Amino acid sequence: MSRAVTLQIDLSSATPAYRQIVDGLRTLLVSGELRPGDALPTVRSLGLDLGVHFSTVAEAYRTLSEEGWLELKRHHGAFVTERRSPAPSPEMRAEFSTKLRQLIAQVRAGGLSTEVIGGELRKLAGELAPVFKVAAEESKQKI
Amino acid sequence: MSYAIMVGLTVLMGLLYSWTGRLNGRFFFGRTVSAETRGGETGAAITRRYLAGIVLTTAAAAGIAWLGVHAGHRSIGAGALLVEMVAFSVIFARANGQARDLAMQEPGGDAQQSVREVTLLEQPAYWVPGVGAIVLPAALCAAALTVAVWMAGGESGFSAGWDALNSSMDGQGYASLLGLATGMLTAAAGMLLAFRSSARLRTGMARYTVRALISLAWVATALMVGLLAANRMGTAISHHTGQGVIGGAMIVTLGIVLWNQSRSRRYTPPQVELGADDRWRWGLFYVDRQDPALFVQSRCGAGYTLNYGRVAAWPITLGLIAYVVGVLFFLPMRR
Repeated sequence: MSRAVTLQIDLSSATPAYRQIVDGLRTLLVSGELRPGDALPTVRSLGLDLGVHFSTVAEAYRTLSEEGWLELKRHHGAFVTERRSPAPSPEMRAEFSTKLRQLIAQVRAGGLSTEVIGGELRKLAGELAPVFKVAAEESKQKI
Repeated sequence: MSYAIMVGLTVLMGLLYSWTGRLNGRFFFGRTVSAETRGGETGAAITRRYLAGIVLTTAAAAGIAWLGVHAGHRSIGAGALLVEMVAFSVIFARANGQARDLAMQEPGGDAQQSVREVTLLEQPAYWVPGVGAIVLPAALCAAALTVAVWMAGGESGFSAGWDALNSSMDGQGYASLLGLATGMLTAAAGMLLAFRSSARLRTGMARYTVRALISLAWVATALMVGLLAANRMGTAISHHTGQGVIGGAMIVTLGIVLWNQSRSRRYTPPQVELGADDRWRWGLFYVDRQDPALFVQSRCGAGYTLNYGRVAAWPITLGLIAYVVGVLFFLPMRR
């Protein structure tokens, strides 16, 4: 039985459709909703279903393939691959911290209270807990 | 084709339009309008005017087709049928405009949906034929034709066999029937190939359209192989028998298409097409250059229509019009 894994994009958003597809799929891949071996729809099929040009989907798939998430097979679509997380660089951690702070500043300026922001961060940490657990086990095995 | 059939066709067309124009419970003459509004006083008045227009046009077209019997002009009935179809489209477009005005009055009415969501791991819940399976009926016809040519030519060779088969087909009244079978097969296989690569296949409605096109391809194949076999057995086809075969093939075709297309009322159109009121011109023509789909679920009735934002939609439409006009005007003249 197939799992209900959905991808959502908003055509009225300022973010390009290609970027939204990449971000949406990456979120599903990181959270484990898309697992190694899963076959994604073909470029043509996903383009038709989303109502966007095939090249938009193809570009998104190529980006994720370059990041090591997908394997692209001609005429057969894209498959989720087993991906080893690369060792994070100190710059990446700094960039994440900066972006997170910028985002929090932006939503606080927009009127969101620190309680709500804290609640959302705690919720996110809860969702990521299984991922942390897997990562910790992988680290132990490496040691 | 007799004029009694023409009058019957005009009435059948009227019944069809009165049914399909309103059958999709989600839309009201091609617009997104809530059930309360379309069931209200203004909505009911739009429906009444639409049905009155259909009834009057049907009566006029049937009358003109009937007059053709007495006037002695063979193409009057066919012309009445074509004019009737155009008139129905105009009546629908008028109702669509009134439905749009009605939708504007609703809070948040006529709003366009920009969020699109798809299920990633789901596959079509039916068999989608591959290119080989689509080409198979045409390959069988080609094989049957080759055998027939070989039988007609004997030891005289392929070229002589081809000439002998041609003259035998013409002499025995097969030409129109073979034209019909070839047209049906080409149209069904071509549409199936195009549909398979340019329609949103993961919908319940797509299943019935694929099924209808496969059925039509095999009906055309059976017709062609049957005609070739009958010709080789030396069976001559009289004018009336030819009419009967054409009428029978058209009834079977219509039955297959109607049965499958009527299933559309059970299925919600894909999300991309739901909030797309501004992409429907007069509720009849879907125009979206950004949408890669060539086939979209119709809002003016059951089944599918073409996306006229795609260039490929135009030659297909012209081909279908030429085929319908050819069947209506050309075939009745063959005696």
